[in-house]
Parts: sequence; C-alpha cells; structure tokens
Amino acid sequence: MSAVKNLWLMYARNVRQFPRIPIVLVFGIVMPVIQLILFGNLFSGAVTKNPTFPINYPGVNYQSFIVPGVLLFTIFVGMANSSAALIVDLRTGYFDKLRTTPARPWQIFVARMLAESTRVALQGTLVLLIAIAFGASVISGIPGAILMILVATFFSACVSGLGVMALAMKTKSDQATQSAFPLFFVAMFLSTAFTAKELIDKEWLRNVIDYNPVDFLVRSLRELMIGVNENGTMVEHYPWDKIGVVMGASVVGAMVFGLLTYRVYKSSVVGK
Amino acid sequence: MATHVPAAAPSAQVAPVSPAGPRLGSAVSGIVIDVQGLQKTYPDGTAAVRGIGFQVRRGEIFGFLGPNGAGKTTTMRILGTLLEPSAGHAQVLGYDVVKHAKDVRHRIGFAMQEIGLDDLATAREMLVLHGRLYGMGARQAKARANELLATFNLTEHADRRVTRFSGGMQRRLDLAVSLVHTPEMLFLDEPSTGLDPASRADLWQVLRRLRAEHSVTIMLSTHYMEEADVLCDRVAIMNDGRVAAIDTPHNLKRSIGADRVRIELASAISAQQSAALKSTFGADNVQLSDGNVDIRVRDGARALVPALRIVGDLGIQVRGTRVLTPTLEDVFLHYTGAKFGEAEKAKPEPNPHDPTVKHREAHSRGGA
Repeated sequence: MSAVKNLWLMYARNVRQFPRIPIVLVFGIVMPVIQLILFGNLFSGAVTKNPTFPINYPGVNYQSFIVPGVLLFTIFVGMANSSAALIVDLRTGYFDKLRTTPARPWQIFVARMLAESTRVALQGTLVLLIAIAFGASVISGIPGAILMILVATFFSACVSGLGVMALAMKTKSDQATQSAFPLFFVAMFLSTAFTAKELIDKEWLRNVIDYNPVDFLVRSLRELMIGVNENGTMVEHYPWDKIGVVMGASVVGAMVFGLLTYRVYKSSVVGK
Repeated sequence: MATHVPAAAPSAQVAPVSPAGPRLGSAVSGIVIDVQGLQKTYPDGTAAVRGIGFQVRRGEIFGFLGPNGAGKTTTMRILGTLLEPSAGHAQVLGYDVVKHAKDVRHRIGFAMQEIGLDDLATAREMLVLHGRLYGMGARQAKARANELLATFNLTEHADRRVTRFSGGMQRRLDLAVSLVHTPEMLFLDEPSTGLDPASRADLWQVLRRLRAEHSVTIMLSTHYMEEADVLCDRVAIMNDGRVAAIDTPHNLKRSIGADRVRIELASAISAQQSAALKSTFGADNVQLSDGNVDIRVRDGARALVPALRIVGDLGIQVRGTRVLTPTLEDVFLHYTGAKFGEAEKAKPEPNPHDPTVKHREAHSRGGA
C-alpha cells in the first residue's frame, strides 16, 4: 500500500513540474505541428495526385494519412526527452535525496515514466486536435483516437523512455539522451509515415520499409486513423492483431531496457 | 597508519555484527554506528575505502576530517545506504546497512555534499512531500513543514521556488528536509561547504541545538579543521581511504606533543647561550630556527613568563613571544605524513592504477 502511495506522491510531484517548464510542453509540439503544416502542403499534391493513391487509400486525405506518423513522432521523441528531468535530479543530488527516503528506486523510476507518459499523451492529443483542425479525421472516432494515443504512448514509454533512462543514468548527459532523436527521425523517414510504399521507386528502400518496425507501428495506427489497411482494404474492426504485436514488442522492449536500466543503476548509482 | 585509540573506547560493549535479524544489541548499548573492516572499491577499480573500523556513540557529534578523496563521502554514503560496501560490515542504529537498509532509512536523515533540492519545487512542497514519503498524513506533513520552516527561519520564503534561495537558505532547507521525520541520526556530508562564515556559524548553532534538544546523533564530514575542532566531540582523521586516528580534538592534539613557547629573537644568539638554553630546558625541547627559539613545554600559557625570565637572564635579546599549541593540521601531518593542503590537492578519489597513489600508500603508517 505504501508503494502505491509513494508512486502517487512522486507522480503528483512530477506532474506538478510540467507547467513550471512550459518550454518542454511547447517545444514538444512545435516540430510535429511544423510537420503537419509543412509536409501537409509540400507533399500533399505529389502523393495524392498519383493514380495509385486513391486506389490504395480511397477517400483519404493527405493530412489524415500523415497524422499517425506525426503522432508517433510527437510521443516517441517526447518520451526520449523524458529523462531530462531525471538528469536534473541526478545532477543536483535530489535523486540521492529521494533514495534516502523510504521511497524505493523503482518507485521513483515508474512514477517518472507515468508522469512523462501523461505529458506526451496530452501533447499527442493536442497535435491530433490541431491535425483535425487542418482537415484530418479519425474514422474510428474518439475511442479509436484514444486507442491510437495509448498504443503509441505505451510503445514509446517501454522502448524510448526506458532505453533513454538507462543512458541518462550512465552518462548524466542531455546530449546522450537526445541521440534517440536523429535515430528515430531516420527510422521514420524510412517508413510509410509520409508517403505510400507504392510511390517509392527504389526497391532497396521498399525492402528496408518492410523490415522497419516503426513502419509496422505507423501502419497499425493508420488503420485506426483512416480505416484502410496497406492493401487498400477497408477495415471494419480495430486491428487488434497488429495492436497485439505492438504491445507484445513493447513488453519485450520494457523487459530488455528495464533490465538494462537496473544494471546501469546498480553500477552507476549504487556502485555495485 | 597508527590508529590513536581513545581511552574510553567502548568496543567491549558492542554486540558482534551479525547478519541475523535487525536491531542488534549495539544500538541499545549506546553505540549507534559500528563499522568493521569496511571497504569500497568502485567498478572502475578505484579503492575509495580500504578497510576501516570505528564506532560512534549515541548523542555524539562525530566528525570525519580529511582532504578531498580521503574516502569520507564514500563511507558516509555506505552508512546512509546509498552505496553498497565491497567488504566489511556496518551497522547504523543496530541495523545492518545492507540487509536492513529500509530500517536504517526510516531512522536517519542525510544531507549531502551537493545540496539535494528539487529545483522546480517550493520549500513547502518539498517538506510536505518528504513528510508524506515518511508515512505522515497530509495534515501532519503540512504541520511539520510549518514547524521546520519556522525553526530554520524560512517561513516567509516557504512558497518560493528553491532556485531563488541563497546558498545558506538552500543549505538550511536541505537540513530541514533531512529532519522532517525526526531522525535519530543525522549524516551531514560537508555541510558548510560554500557557506560564508556567518552562515557556517548559524549552521553550527543549529547542529548543537539539535543535539541538545533532540538528542540527535550527528555524523559529519568536513575538510575544515576549525569545524572539526569547534563542533565535534570526536574526530576520525581519514586519508587515502583509511582512518589514521580517532579521538577528541583535544586528545588528538595532545597525542602528538606539547605546547611550544616561541621566542622571536632581536639578534642572533651565541653558542654559549644556545648551550645554556638546552641545558635548562633539555636538548630535545629546544629548537633554533629562522631567528626563533622554540621551547617545548607542557602548558604554554603557564610556562611563558618563567621561560621568558630565564631567556632574559641569559642575556638573549627578545623581539616578541608566542605560545603555539598543536592544531589538527599538525595532527593530520603527524598521522598521515602529509600536509593537509598537499593532500587536498590530490585528485578527488584514489586510483590504484595511479603510481602516485602507490607512492603515498608506501609512505603511510599502517591501516586503521
């Protein structure tokens, strides 16, 4: 019971911090909104006027098409920045101060993850609302939109959040944790986040896309967004099979990065 | 290094360190810290603590004195359950710091060298959060926060972010946070680093009051000789991961020798005058250097006038006099073979791969 109470106390402390660093809240949605506006106008014609696009994605506008990728970018990169607050606590010594209390380290980490997940989910919601204002629509309605944000947040917390947490503890450096940003940026551009696979000429690129896990995630979210799968087939139900794969991969990622975080904590913080 | 053992060493009262069960006998018998053969080698091979042992009694202000890299912080962090030792045992308040770390944490407060404050919180928010983490209800935590804010003269700043606090205010708040759960034992790692003399004096006052009014046992590390001398009941001198000596500051100073009466000469003395001085005070007790004559005496203040009279009778021209009593600096030099300032310049943590460390080890005088 005290574990739940400690989790709640530290979650509340972390959430209370967010309005006090408005730059993090604002900066986290600037890039995605630029992508929505810039890419939405730059590539819209080139993609949607290609004869194959209306066949594969009947009735879908370009804004709706790119929203899943932009949403994933918002949430994944947002989670990668989640260790910034942890680094501040490590550098100022406040992390050690918390360790001298009855709160256990896993409670400190989980509370941080939950709070940062709350932040990125809210930022994702804001980006989605802006996208809708620019003409996008979520065919699966509000429940589908919520599911999209939850799936993206869970995946990002397990993979990006926990992975960067280990790096943050090891290096105590913002620069090291921000290395996740270009990696994800490249992975996103090697996917169908901004264009349909059929419109890509290079065969090697199409092969890379086939094996890019980010693309699988984008396609899963897109089915919720536009109700059409990558084969141009209308989807009547939520793609639970794909969501299941994403959640399973997230759990595996959480186990791997969680173990890594634990080992780094033991060697870098406890000195074991 | 030769360990100076205090006359009233309480080792006979101490229960043996045992892995079995919490709250062993030592805390009850008046020993609140019992350390035996403690070692810490970091994963990179740095040996920060090389097998130390000592005890702290209930109600003491116990000081760790040593230069940067001596192993003070590592030892304190092990006792505060923040680090795990590589070998040896340590009990705090009768609980093993590894096996019963949770029990230890409930009973101690820890203020670290770097002031550990939440930059984005206000003073009141921090105090309430920590009170609640120690199991207080919301109302109780708020009341305790108000009490501590008043005690540490921070009430009017209670709702300001801590980044806007001065260094002294931040240190006071850090101490207040460490005391929120009324701990039996307080660890302070270099608490006065970065404080101006007035803030340092305030801090000493607060610590004395804590001990007097709440019987809190305080263990602090410092590299300020004056702080150890003025504040601590007993001092452990640390160097290169070892305890060189432990006793009261007074006994430590006495252990290395007597006072000296320094006669500053107005003119050079003759060989006859020198021989007469050595004959009167004993050859070993008279030292001539740089226009001074140093005479070792038991009590400098009392011996000054008679010594001056004898010197005058010998026709020695005197320009001035001083009574020199041993300082903790002298104690450090005596027990470690190194001047404190020189040791202070050494790198922060001893590195066994560094040949200079081996050189220092070769010249040290044994283990603690």
